[in-house]
This record gives sequence, C-alpha cells and structure tokens, in this order.
Amino acid sequence: MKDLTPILKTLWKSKTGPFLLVIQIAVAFTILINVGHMAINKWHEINKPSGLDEAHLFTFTANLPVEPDSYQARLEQDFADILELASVESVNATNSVPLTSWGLGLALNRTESDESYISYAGVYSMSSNFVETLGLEVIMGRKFDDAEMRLSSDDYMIKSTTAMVTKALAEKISPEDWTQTVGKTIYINGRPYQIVGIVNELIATWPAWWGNKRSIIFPVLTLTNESKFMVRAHPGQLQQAMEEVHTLLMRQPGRIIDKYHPFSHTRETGYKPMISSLVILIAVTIGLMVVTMLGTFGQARFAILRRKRQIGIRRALGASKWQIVRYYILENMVITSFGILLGVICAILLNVKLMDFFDLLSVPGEYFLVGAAVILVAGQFAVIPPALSAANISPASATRSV
Amino acid sequence: MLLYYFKLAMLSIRKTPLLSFLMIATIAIGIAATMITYTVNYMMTQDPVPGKSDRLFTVHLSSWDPNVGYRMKDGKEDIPIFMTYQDATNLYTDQRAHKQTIISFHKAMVRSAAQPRGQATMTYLRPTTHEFFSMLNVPFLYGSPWDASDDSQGSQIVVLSKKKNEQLFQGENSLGREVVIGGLIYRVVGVLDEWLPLPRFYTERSDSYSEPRGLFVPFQSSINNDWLSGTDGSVYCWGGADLIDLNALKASECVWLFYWVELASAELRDDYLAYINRYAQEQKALGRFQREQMNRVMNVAEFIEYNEVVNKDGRIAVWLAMAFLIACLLNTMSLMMTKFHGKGAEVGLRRAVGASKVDIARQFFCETVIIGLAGGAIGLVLALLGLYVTSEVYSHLHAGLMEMNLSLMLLTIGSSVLASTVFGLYPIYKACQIQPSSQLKSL
Repeated sequence: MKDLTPILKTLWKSKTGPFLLVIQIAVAFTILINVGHMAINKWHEINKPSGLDEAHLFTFTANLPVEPDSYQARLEQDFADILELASVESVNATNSVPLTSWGLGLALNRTESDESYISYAGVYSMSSNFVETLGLEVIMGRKFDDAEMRLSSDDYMIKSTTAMVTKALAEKISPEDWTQTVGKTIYINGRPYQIVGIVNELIATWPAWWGNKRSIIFPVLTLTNESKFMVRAHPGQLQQAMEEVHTLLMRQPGRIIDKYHPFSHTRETGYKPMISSLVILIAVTIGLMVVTMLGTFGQARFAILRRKRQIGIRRALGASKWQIVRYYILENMVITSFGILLGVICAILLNVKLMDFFDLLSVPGEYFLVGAAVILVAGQFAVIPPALSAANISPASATRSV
Repeated sequence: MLLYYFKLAMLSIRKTPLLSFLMIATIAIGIAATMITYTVNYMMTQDPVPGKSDRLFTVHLSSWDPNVGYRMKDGKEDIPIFMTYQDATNLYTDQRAHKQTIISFHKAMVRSAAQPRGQATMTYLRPTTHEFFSMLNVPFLYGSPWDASDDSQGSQIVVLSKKKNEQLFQGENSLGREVVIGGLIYRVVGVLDEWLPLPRFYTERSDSYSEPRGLFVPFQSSINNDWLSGTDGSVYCWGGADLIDLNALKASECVWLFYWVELASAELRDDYLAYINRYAQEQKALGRFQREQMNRVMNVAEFIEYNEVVNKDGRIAVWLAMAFLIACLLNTMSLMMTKFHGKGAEVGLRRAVGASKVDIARQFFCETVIIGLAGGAIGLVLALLGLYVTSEVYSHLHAGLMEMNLSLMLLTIGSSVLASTVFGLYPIYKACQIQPSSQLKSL
C-alpha cells in the first residue's frame, strides 16, 4: 500500500494519458451497464414461459370448404375426424395462435366507464377443450363448461358473459390478493364479463409486448371461412400426427391449409427479432470490452516504455520483480476505479435519459457492482503482460545513459 | 512541403508499428460499429418514395362507433388507419386528388395456367387501383399498369412482381399469358422490375420490412369475385356486423381498406383536408360519422412516424455505437499523446533548426490524417463484414436494409478522418508546446 502515494503523485504529474483512460473506462462502463441490462431483459423476455405444452403442439389454418350455414357442422366433423387419429390427443380452434403477433388486444375496466381502466390484455377465444389442448394449468376456479360455449361469425367475445384470465392479469384485477379474482366482474367496451377461472400461464400473441403474460380467454368459437387449429399430439408422435392430420384434411375437396407448423417453429419465428437484437447487444459488449482492454494495454505499455529508466533504478536499488508488477497493477486499479466512479455517475445520468427517450426500465444496483467487477478484472488482464515485461527490465539499463 | 510531411508521417508510423496498429485498429472498430448501426437505421428510415413523399397522403376518417372510441393512443382517442368500403369508393368516385388509390388484401391459391392444379401455392395478393403504380413510382419491366376502365369493369388482369414472374413463367416476358387465381383466369398485363420500398409504408406496420406482395389485381375484380379473406390483413368492426360474406362487409361500418392520394403539391394539403371534412359532414347528415370529427391526412413521413415503423432498438443501437466510438477515439487520443511525447527529441531538434510551431502541427496533422484514412478504410471493410453478419442474424428483415450505398461508404471514411483529426488536436497542441531547449539538453 505504500506504493499508493507515489502512484497518485506520478499520475498527477502527467495526468493527460491516465485521464483519457479514465474517461474511456467511464464510457465503457456506462455502455456496459446499460447494454448488459438490456441484454438480460431481452433474455428474460425470450425465455418467458408460454404456459403451453409446446413440445407436443402444432398449429395451422384451414378453410371450411362448405357454404357458411354448414360451417359449424363441418368444423365439428373436422374435430371428430382429427380426434379419431391415434397420434392425436386433443384439438381445438382459436382466434389467434400464441406468439404469432396476430390477434386482438383489449382494455379491461372495473366498471362500464373507460376511466376505471385496469389493464390491457391479449384476447383469446377458443373452443371448449382448449385447456387440455394447450396444456394449461387451471389454478383457481373452473374451466368453461359446454353450456357456456358460444358461436360467432365475427366477434370474439360479445356473445359471451364469462371469461378466464391468467394469473398475471388476475394480479392486476385484484392487486391486493389475486386469489380473490374468481367471481369478480370486469368490463370491456362497457360489457360485463364474470371471471370463472384462472390459468397459471398463457402468453399473449405478441412476443415483443412486455405485458404479454396478461391474457383473457372467452368461450367463443369463431366461425369464418378460415379457422385456426391447434392440435396436441401424444408424446413422441408429433411428426406422425402432423402427417396424419394433413392427409386427413386434404381428403376434403377444396381444402386449403396454410401455416402448418410445429409450435417450436412459431416460437422461433416469433422471437427472431429479439434474439437478433440480443446477439447484436452481446457483440457490442464484447467489442467494447476488447477495445477497453486494448486501451489499458496500450496505456500501460507506453507508460512503462517511458519509465524504463525509473524502473531500472528501482530494480538497481533492490526492488523485486514482484514489487514492480505490483506497482503497475495497483496503478491500473487506481485508474480503473476513477473510471468506474465517473462511469457510475454517467450510467445513472444516461439511464435517466434513456428512460426518458426510449421508456426503458431503470438499471438495478447489482448491475453496477457486477459491471465494476468485470471492468476491474478485464483491466487487470490487460495490464499484466506489460507489467511482467516491465519487471524484466534489467537494473543495468538504468546505469546506461539513455 | 505537404508531400514531405506525408513522407515523414509514413516513416513515423512505420517506426512504431504496434502503436500505429493499435491506433488504427481502435478507430476502425469504433467506426465500423457506428456505421453498421447507422446503416441499418438509415436504411430503415430512408424516404421510400424520394421526391414525392410530401405529396402522398393517407386519409383517415372518424367513422367509428358513436358509443365507444376506436382505440387510445398516447392517452388520446385515435381513429382507424383503414377505411370502410363505402367511404373508400365514395372518395375514389369523387376523384378529387391528383391521383388516388384504394389498397386491399387477399390471398388465394395461384398457379400459371400451364401448371397442373397441384402446383398451385397459397399467395398473398394486392387488389388495388391503377394509379397505385404511378403514385408509388413502381418500375415496370414488361407491359404497364391497367387503366381506369379496367378498374371500373373489374377486368381479370394481373401485374406480377419480378420474383413472381420468375416463379410462374421462369422470368420470360409473360404479357398475355394466363394465371389462375383461386380458380379464375387472370391475364398478365404487366411485370414489375425490382421494386423494394423500404419501409413499405403503405400498409400495416407488421409488413414494413418484408417484400411487397407478388400479384396486383384490379380492386373491382376482387369485389366482383366476392373475395374475402380474414387472416392476411386487418378488418376492424363495430356494431355487431355479421361478416358472413363480402356483401355484408361492403355494407358494414367495418374498416379494412387503405386509401392513399397524391396531390399536385404539398400546399394543397389543407384544401384536400377541407374536402374530406366536407365529405364527413355530408355523411353525418346521412346519419353516419356521429363521433367527434378527427379526420386527418398524413404524409408518408408522418404515417411512418405514427405507425412506429422504425423500432426504438435501432435508435438506441446508434447512440450506443456512437458512445462506443467515443471510447475508441479517447483510446486513440491517449495513444497519440504517448506517441507524440515519444517524439519529443525529434520535435526539439526540428524546432531548434528553425521549424515553427505551425510546421510541427502540420507534420503531426498529416500523421493523424493518415491514421484516420487507414482507420476508415479498415473500418469500412469491417463494417461491410459486420453488415453481412448482421443480415445473417437479422434474417427476418430484408437484406436490402444491410447494404451500404456509396454515400454511406464515403461517410465512413470521412467521419474516420474527421474523428481522428479532431481527437488528434490536443495531442498535437501538446507536441507543439515542447521547448527546443529542454529536448536538446538531454541529448
């Protein structure tokens, strides 16, 4: 520690170089914290549970190649035919497939008036056995019974009077205790709906919406000339079920099938933009660390070249190699610490600005600690090679004149 | 003299290879990162119809439910970006703008007449009106757009994109050939050349960075055929409309059509809006349009902004990359300090034999220019490489977004030289302060 005074004195004497490095580290630290935070947020978004039994699900759209008045009969026949296949466990129709970014979102209110806004929620309207098909978990209340099912050709919820919500939405409806949600009435566009059950998780259709844990389900089967099907296969039989269902449906003349994908494909496509951003953020972070280390390395190396004689004299006066290395490591730690200190201030300021500009979430405290540790360690790695070469300067070099 | 300074600078760079390499490399990395993010952002925000975007307007009407607003946006009531069939056809019949077009959507099984039935593929179509092509500067390879009479009759004719023409007719001149769309025969009247407006501003936000649809047919023909598909575009309804077929949709208050107009000049905007408001008043007298009237026209840039087509991540990335560049430049600056400091003896000697401070500054300035040039050149290569990688990573976006044009390339080199010289100013200033005597003494 007795090195500290001479280090500070030397740094003060020729401050420009170290000062530039301090600013550089501060900038790097600021970016690192913010980028790291964004990347980890993205990572959490990408790995959010969907609540679905994804491994055994596949989805598609298919037309009902009959006149509108026989849509219902045709759809029920399709369901019955698909269920007869040995590889299929369950099938249902839905207004939108999770994570496809195609669907309806609505504002929920506590009363008829728009002023009593609770939350925005993703809307699903599904045929009766969706709980089984999607593999959802009903944690409170009940699922819909067959008597509640409604048919509609144009609207997803108007004909219904009941709804189920996800736990995340229940927490919005009853902030004090979500378990009190069952039995409550919420209003959408002035119409009342009674909540009869709560499912643990069901992701809304937009992967990029941060509130996508909030979904509401209505017992409505929408009958249009094109239906969205979700099919759950028996374990290990997804491939077989996909082939069999396709063959079965194509037997009907005039049938058009589209978007025939296993759910894994839907997830991959849905999250593609976020994964891309994540990759770029990670690349930026790595690039930044490399440049910072290069900077530290360069700064240390040239500081040492300049002080070649000084090092030689210290060695000649009896300093051990370790003491020389220690001096430079300590010097680097001092510079880095100043950099981090400045960086903390910048990071807080930048984060406030970023929040204003781009409505991001604020960076929690532990990022500062981890970021500081990462920068310190990286700085040490960068300074060790030049410090070691400094230690190898022979005492004799001091005795020569230049 | 300048040439001599450049020679000195080259010599000096070669004398300290590691130092020079570090300087050039850090500039190159910083410039590359900035230019990659900037290119993507620039390409996303560029003007999709150069020279016209301030005269092209989309029209939005307050035709929504008197009881409940359409939706809330930024805390205010918003009106639909789509139009009802009746309003779109009413406005279109009036022909009040210089040019106008209705843009719809449909999907159907499509094949060329020569292909067997089984080879038909599900294809997205774009039913629209004939001025669509001239309004959006769409280039034609063969043939031309259809005309007003085809629009009024709803002729069964089709314009293919270049890509679709390759799929269906192997890229031949297919004018007059036949395409089967949903079981109906359509005759080819035009084939487009490469056309990729980015962002694709004229429809919904989710389509902004994908390719335009491959088949264009007269809007009236899609009406004649009762074409209605619910899943490849948006239809928003109120008042419990029963959308069992197209006739129901046509009669309903559902909104689903885009309506764009081209005015002779941007100044006519207010006149056109006044006409739209007059139209709304007429409709109000007929019992429609009972909500507060918020009708509006938006030009291309305003609509892109409104639609939030350009994502925020991109803008954040540019800011981060710029901060990153500054970190790199600070690094270069401290390396320059070291370097010029090491040349104290040389400066002292040159000052002693009569060089002025300005001469010294010039000499080092040449060196920073060379470093900037080299950094820019390597940075350009890195940026092009990076953009290639980015286009692989962002495979869901169109690769056209990740290509540099000439002006961006020049910008890369230019900004590198500028950055290097600006950040070299202080080290140069310090080098000029070196006293001849102090250096000569130590020799």
